[in-house]
Amino acid sequence: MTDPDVQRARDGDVDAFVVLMEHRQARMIRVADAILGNRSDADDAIQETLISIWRELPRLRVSTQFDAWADRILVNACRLVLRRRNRRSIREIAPLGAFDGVAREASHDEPVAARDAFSRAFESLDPNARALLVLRHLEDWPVPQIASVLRIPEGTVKSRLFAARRALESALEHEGR
Amino acid sequence: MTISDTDLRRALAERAEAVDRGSARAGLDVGAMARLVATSPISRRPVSRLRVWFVGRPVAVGSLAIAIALVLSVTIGPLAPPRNSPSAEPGASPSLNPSPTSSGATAPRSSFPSMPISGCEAMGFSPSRCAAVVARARASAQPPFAANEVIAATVGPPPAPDVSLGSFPLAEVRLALVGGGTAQVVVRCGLPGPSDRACNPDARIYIFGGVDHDVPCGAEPGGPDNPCATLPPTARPGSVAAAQPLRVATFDIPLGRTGRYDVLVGEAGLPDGVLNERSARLLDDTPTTFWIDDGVLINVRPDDSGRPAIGSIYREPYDGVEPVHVWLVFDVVEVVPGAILQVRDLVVR
Repeated sequence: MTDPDVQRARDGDVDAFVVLMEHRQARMIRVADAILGNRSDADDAIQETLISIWRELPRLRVSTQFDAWADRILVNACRLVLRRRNRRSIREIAPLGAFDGVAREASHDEPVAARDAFSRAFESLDPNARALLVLRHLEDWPVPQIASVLRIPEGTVKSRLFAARRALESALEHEGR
Repeated sequence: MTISDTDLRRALAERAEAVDRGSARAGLDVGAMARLVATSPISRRPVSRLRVWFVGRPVAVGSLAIAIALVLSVTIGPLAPPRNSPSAEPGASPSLNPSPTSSGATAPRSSFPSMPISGCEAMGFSPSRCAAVVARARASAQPPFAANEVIAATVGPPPAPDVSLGSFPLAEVRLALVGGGTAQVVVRCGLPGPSDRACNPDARIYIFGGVDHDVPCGAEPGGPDNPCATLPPTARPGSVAAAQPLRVATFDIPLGRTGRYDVLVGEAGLPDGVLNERSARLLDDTPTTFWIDDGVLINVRPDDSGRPAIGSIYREPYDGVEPVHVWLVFDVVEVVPGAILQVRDLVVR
């Protein structure tokens, strides 16, 4: 992805926009899946992200900031979808995720239970906490980048990350009882 | 319990992979979707002259902000008090119009922000729907605006209809911002959810749970030519006799804050681990003192942490009566002090 692609997409070049989005495909899917936990919501978030990026791109003045700007739109779209969708009924029946840190060498059933437990624990977190954990621990974004994308101070990122981590651990502990 | 960075990373990655793998996302082609979006008649935002003019003129911006605030306060009433919530941030909770008990100078503090909204009633929307439309506009803006970042709103007809992509423009909302700027957002609606106050004129809070049935064979489950849907496996008579259903006639939950609630209702024993019913009703599903998005879930959690969750395809029959706890789980997005969620006739068996 190059700045000229962003420039051309901003000027209305459809092919350049498609190239930009294709470069971001894997990343968008990974982040949306991890935050939202089901395909339908993730697809909706990605679609809304594409619409927002296309609609708002003419107002992006600095093309070098495209990545952070587009990431912010995606994360906001995921948070929006989380708030307004009825995701719990899907959560109930979908065996999502995997967490084998508890019983890595255990029998077949135990990892399944651990995976379910992790999914339930993760989904019990609020959208902002989910987004923070995904960006930091799945995407390996440094704190300054997260702060830039979420538009909050770095210190706030650190404290919220800490709180999210503790909330997740607490939820896992609750699941284990 | 602590999780190492490695375990957390792996769990998140496998969770994302499982979603993708489980749904066979071969059909998602972001490039094709991007082309569809870009070739549709979606109106693109022009570069705002006002915004460009602001750049490099902080003094002028500050003066203009004060002037706009003063004009608004004179023409449309006093400015809304800021929401006193530490979690308030872009994309935060939507809002309702204040109830009679929450308005006025002596009203208790609540999460209902009072904000002057003009032009909306002419659209034929109720006051609560107007507030929801404005809240949707705040949340849909890029970046989103918190309630305390907006001091007034004007709702008007949407621009000319554009491509649907599953949705249509409902209204155009002009937000007057605390910092002195304005933002215009087109609120769009698709198929509204039952509790979607912006898009559903008959929005209600719902309570849900249900039981799991097998996947039907065809498109019309239960029809005369399609008897394929199957009930859950039948529990053994001995287990049924020993089972402990949970029946609660009245369950009131005081709502003192916004956010997620996990409320323990009680215990039950499911025969052979089979959930045959979980149901309840709300005494008032269109309350004026609070709102819940995405419904109230009757959550049945096995006591045995080694057992998969209710509804998981990995659940196998339990040998005997399976002990479970029943919780109500929901997200309160607005509340005034004294609000109560009134649940009636809850049954889990």
